[in-house]
Amino acid sequence: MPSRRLACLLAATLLAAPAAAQPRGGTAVIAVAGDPGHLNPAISTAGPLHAVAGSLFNGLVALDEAGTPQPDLAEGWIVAPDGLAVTFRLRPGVRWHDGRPFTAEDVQVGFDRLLLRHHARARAGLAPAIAAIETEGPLAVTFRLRRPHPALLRQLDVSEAPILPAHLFAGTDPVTNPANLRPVGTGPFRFDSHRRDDQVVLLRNADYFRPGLPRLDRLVFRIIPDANTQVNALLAGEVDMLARVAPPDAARLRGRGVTLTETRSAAGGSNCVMTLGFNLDRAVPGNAGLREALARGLDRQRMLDQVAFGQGRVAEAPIASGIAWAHQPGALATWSPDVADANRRLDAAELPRGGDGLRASLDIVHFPAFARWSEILRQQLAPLGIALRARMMDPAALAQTVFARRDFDLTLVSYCNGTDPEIGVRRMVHSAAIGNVPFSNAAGYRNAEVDAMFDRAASLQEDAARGAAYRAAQAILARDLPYLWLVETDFTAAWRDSFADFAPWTGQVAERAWRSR
Amino acid sequence: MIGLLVRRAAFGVVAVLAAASLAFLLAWHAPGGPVVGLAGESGAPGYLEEVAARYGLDRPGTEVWLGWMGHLLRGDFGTSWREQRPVVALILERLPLTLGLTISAAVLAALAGTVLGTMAAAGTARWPVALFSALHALPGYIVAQGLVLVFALWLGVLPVQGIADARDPAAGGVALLLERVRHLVLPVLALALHQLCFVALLVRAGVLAQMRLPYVTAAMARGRSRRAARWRHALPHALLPVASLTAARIGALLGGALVIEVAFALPGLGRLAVTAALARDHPVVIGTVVVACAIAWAANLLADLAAPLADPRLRRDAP
Repeated sequence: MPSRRLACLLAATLLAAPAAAQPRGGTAVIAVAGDPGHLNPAISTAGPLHAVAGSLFNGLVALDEAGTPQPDLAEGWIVAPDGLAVTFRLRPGVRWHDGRPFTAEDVQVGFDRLLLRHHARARAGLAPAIAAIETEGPLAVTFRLRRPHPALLRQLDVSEAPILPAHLFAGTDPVTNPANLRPVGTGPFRFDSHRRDDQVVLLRNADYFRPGLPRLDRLVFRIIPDANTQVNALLAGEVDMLARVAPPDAARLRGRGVTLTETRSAAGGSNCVMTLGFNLDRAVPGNAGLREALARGLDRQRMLDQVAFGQGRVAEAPIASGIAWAHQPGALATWSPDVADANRRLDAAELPRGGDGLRASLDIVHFPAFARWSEILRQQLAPLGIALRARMMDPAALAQTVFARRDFDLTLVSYCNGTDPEIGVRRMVHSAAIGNVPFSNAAGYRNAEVDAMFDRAASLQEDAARGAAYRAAQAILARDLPYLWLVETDFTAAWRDSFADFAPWTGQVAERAWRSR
Repeated sequence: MIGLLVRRAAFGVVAVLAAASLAFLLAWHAPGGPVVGLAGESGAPGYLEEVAARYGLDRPGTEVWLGWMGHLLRGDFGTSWREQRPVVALILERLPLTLGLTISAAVLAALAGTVLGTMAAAGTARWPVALFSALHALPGYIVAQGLVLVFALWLGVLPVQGIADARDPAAGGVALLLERVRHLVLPVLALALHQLCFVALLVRAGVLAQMRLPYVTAAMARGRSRRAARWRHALPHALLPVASLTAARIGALLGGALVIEVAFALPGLGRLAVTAALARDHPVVIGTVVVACAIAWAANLLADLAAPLADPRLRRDAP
């Protein structure tokens, strides 16, 4: 414990030192693509909502750029030796924006009444592991677990588990609570106003628990749905920061007074992999020979260069390289591009060419935003005698078509692995995750060995032992190919050179940001 | 006159209800029902059913439809599922901007189109016709991008997006008015251009046709200049179709406003409808359809009532 306390103290000193040196004041205008609707991040996982609400609230922990848990509302934590209890020591003297003190009751009520019931990812990823949450005095709270759950700390940041005020939510229906529209948080900025589809204005929280922060006086989140308009507004100086820039737009911004930052994570997710999913319930995509032929026939480096404009890496394994302790480098190395071998495999898989040279005609379901990906797939599959028919859908329609009705041959999904395979990889390969849950096991993949390895990795505590189980599972996944992991896509954020220290990898994007002029 | 109004009003109510029913039918059968959207990315067993029951979506479609239409008839637009606020309040927040945009564009198109069309009727050159036809064919989104490129990015005289300066908005009075006007110049131009060109072509053809008629020749024989004959005699007769066209195309302009609101990030009715449709927020989708239909219907009614005032030949008691 002393060493941890020392580490915290050291971290606090290091963080406090530059805080005094940077200029204070000013407004930052940040573009977001959609209106948040309401601003209760504990009952929704919607991207635009979290992009704004991350600045209003805090989690028990914060995640740094590498995804490592750091103190936030919790000053420190102790994991019991058997891994079945985690006790958080809460930061004293923290106040809600309305002046009430933050206590352990806020954490307990926040999880029991909001997060574990209404926050989709907390409900799916945390609720099954948590037996009870107990307060121990006003500044300590213990999570009692049903089984060891090593991913817990990485699921407690402001995006995955924001803490809301118990005095406004206890005993109410959280879906209709008026505080959803006038949020009260502990975060670096407090709510000022929200005009629908126009802008959300936040003001500096002078009582923020990190001294000297935030440095900006005002944050304006401008809701600009069209990506082209966002870029134009940044170039014209009407907007200071774009939280997410598409690869072709990033090329347009380069060298025009704009700082471009590539990260593996963003407010909406982290370690995202563009993935081709096969519907294993259908004969042709269920044919292992076809999947192997596709793995050989596709040139993923060209996809990275031409579609992602080089922003990211060719996926080397089923688990993203950003989770280094679980990633198996070179797991997919056997599937280097070789069109002749792909054609041989298709012949062997009893998919001969018909009179028109076609072996098979498959449909591919995806968001309109992924049209360039499906187009390059179509081009690369033509020499194999495989025709693709794109069926583009909005998120609600895709969720129903792919996950409820299972009416597809192939689907393109950007699976975000998160900071732990438990968060974002288990759901795509575990047989228990097949069913009507969006962005779960799209392939319908069932393999008892893989299930057992994921279950084992989830119950161990040390990253080394967990990593060994995940690596063994990846060898099987790379052989069975329920999916083809194409490209690890990075996020690009852009801000005008007069600003610095935005943190686009977290929901708390502007806690440390400052303006030079 | 009263009888006409009553008949038209009854027809309007039926038309609006029919449009609302069609919107309901499309929304209800669109893939990806509201429940998945409302439940979020994930859902534990029983959660989807819980959400469906909360919003009354576990009942048969016909029952839900009858219920909603009954409420609509009583003027009750319901509550937004996504925002938990009355649909009427959401629509009233957005209506002034979209109406302002649409009416400004309609008036600009009518006035500028008339002047340009009459001027184009003077010469024998074919290029104005070619120009109007070409601009008329450009999609609104492309026009918007072109205008932004020239006036906002190259010349830097007008803003790219929004209705206010996000960094320091005008507090009120004349400054606020100027700020609004500055922000709405490009959106109104982009929205009006298509119809402006259409009006110009129509007026040019109409004026040229009138110029060949004996009464114009007679006017010129009395000493009127050709120019005066065109503006004073031929133009008024060519104007009637412009008035009815302007009214009839209010509905189309409302549809065009949707594209313009997205391109210029303006918080209007179109954005409300798009956001609601993507979120499967059916009460809001149907509410916006009802309001848009009602506006289009009212514009047409106004045009029909105004026509006899402008043209004596259309009056009932005309000889």
